[in-house]
Amino acid sequence: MSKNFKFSLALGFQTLALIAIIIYKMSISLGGTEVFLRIEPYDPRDPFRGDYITFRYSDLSTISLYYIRGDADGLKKGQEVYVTLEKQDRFWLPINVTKAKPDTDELIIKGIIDETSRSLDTINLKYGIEEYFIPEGTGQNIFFDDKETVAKVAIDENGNAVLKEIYLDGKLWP
Amino acid sequence: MNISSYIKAALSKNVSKEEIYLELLKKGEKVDHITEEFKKSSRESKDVQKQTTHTILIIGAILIAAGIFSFIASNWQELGKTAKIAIIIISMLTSHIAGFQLKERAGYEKIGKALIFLGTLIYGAGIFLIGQMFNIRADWPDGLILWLLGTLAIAFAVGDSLVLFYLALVLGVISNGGEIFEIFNRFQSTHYLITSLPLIIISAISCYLASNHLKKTPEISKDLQDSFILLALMFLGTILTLLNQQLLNAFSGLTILSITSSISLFAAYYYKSPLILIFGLLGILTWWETKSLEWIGAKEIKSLAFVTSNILIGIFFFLLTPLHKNKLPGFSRIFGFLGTAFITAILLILSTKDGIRELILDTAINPIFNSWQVTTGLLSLAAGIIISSIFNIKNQLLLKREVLTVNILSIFFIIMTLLTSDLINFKGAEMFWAAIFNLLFFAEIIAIIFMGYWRKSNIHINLGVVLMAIFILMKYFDWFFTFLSKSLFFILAGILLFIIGFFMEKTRKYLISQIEHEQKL
Repeated sequence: MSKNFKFSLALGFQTLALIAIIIYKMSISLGGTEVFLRIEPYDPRDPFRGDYITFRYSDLSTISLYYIRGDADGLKKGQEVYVTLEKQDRFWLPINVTKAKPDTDELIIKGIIDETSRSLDTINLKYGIEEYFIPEGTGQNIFFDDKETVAKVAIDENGNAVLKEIYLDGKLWP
Repeated sequence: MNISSYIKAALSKNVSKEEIYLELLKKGEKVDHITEEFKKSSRESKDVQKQTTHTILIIGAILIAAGIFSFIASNWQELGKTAKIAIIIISMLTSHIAGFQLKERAGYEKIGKALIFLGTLIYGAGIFLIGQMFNIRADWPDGLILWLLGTLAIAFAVGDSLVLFYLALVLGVISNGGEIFEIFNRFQSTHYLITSLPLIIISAISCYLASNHLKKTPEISKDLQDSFILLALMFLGTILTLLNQQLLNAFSGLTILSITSSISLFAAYYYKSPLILIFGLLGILTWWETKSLEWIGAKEIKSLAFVTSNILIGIFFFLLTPLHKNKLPGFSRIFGFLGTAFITAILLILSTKDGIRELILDTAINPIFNSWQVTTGLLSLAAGIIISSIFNIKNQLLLKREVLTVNILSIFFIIMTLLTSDLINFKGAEMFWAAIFNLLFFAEIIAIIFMGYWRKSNIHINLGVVLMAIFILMKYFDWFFTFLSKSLFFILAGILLFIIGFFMEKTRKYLISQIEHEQKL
């Protein structure tokens, strides 16, 4: 294999890697169902990527074991689960949680169990969409406590989600 | 005489070549040898020039990459997604292609490599900028792994750019960093909760291949080659952790750690790598320390069993030191250091007031045999000590008195572990055990100093003298602090340090001069 060919392959790998991430996320963003989910933000900072806010989903990050279909005792940290969503007023709320992908036309979102709490009969879930990046300096002196904070999320048919926008009291933020 | 150093020193003082030749010939050196050393010295100074150019170019590449991303960051809202992606991909491709052309076609090797390095930095930063555009979570190990794989791909293709391999190493360590610390802390991390198992498998294989690739270039340091094996082993640990998650955490993080560490120990011996040995030993020791405390707590066994296991580990490592000296000197140094550290740390803690109180006021009453795991562990260590003692004596690697001393120490602690509470805690027990353990610690320090004398090792002598100073200082704080006023205490402590320093210096010089005198004879 000549050096030219090896270098072209390596360069091709790097370019494809970037394009693959873009295509994957764009396919969910453009092709998925857009939903509004209530969020509760708090404010850290990523030194490598600028300002971002971290938040939890008010209705999805902690779910009661009541919604679990099947054996709730078998649930463990790191396990993948599927949360079926139903629209109630503007927002989408969980109606059940299953360990396997359900055979349904309803909207589902994929999450990973972060923690189980026997005393509170709840599970904490992560969906990989708990951070929102904002231009440097625009996130300062923002108080979320007295505001309605909502995330617009796109979800595809396999439950993969992309966070698109954040709204504060109905207005796009920042 | 070190001709190379003489030539360098003479040249730096502007002594002419002819004068250097004359001087060295007078000292009995041969002309050919002197000429060879001059050539080497000239090569070394050219290497320094090459290295300086290389360093400047790499720093330049880093600054340009930082500049590109500052530009994107500061114009984030003005630039659309398409523009941002276009800037990233075009600048990456331009840098790579220009670098390759300059290196391979135009003969500008250094600047070519620097541009390729810049292209790889742009690639990596591009991954995270794209991640930012789509709000991919901040803690995204897949991003680092894709960067690592892209870097290795270019490094293999270019072949001789060490800086790319070093970058890959750094990326590999960072991407594993969170998971490794969590394994050591035995709690499952959220770091890899949502990540790609196939990517990690590819990373492990790529790191292994990188090590093989580097082995083909003899001038590349063994440490760099071994670092990629170590990285592959770290990824293996992560693979096992992810597979374990899919098995609903059937095994604890510590079990995964022990498996990965055991494999690392085999790999260390196979590749003769001290670096991998350290990783394997740290992993196994972390597993043992954590699990033994768990088992001891669960069966309410005396905590002395934990102390004894650590002393036995230290003694075992001490006995392994000479066994590795000839064929694996790096391993010998590691075992020597760990052995001394373990024994010294345990004796030091037991010689303090708090250590002794912890020992005698331990209310656990069950014998060690209540826990088969602890018993098996101690028996295995004892067996290891006996076997390595026999090997050392048979091959005359250690003096009989050294082997005897450490075995007596092992037996002492094993017997102590078997004693019941009333035999440990009796009237006057605190003073009794204080005397015993302080004497033991003092004896250990003297033994280290004499070991240095017998083996003609300055390191042991210096270590012994430093430990003696620490011992004296500690006892001073232990016994006198409650009785003296603070100011008087600090004045006396300062004077004591001067006295200690004076005697340290005097003892060192005496012992080292004795060694040198004997060596001359």
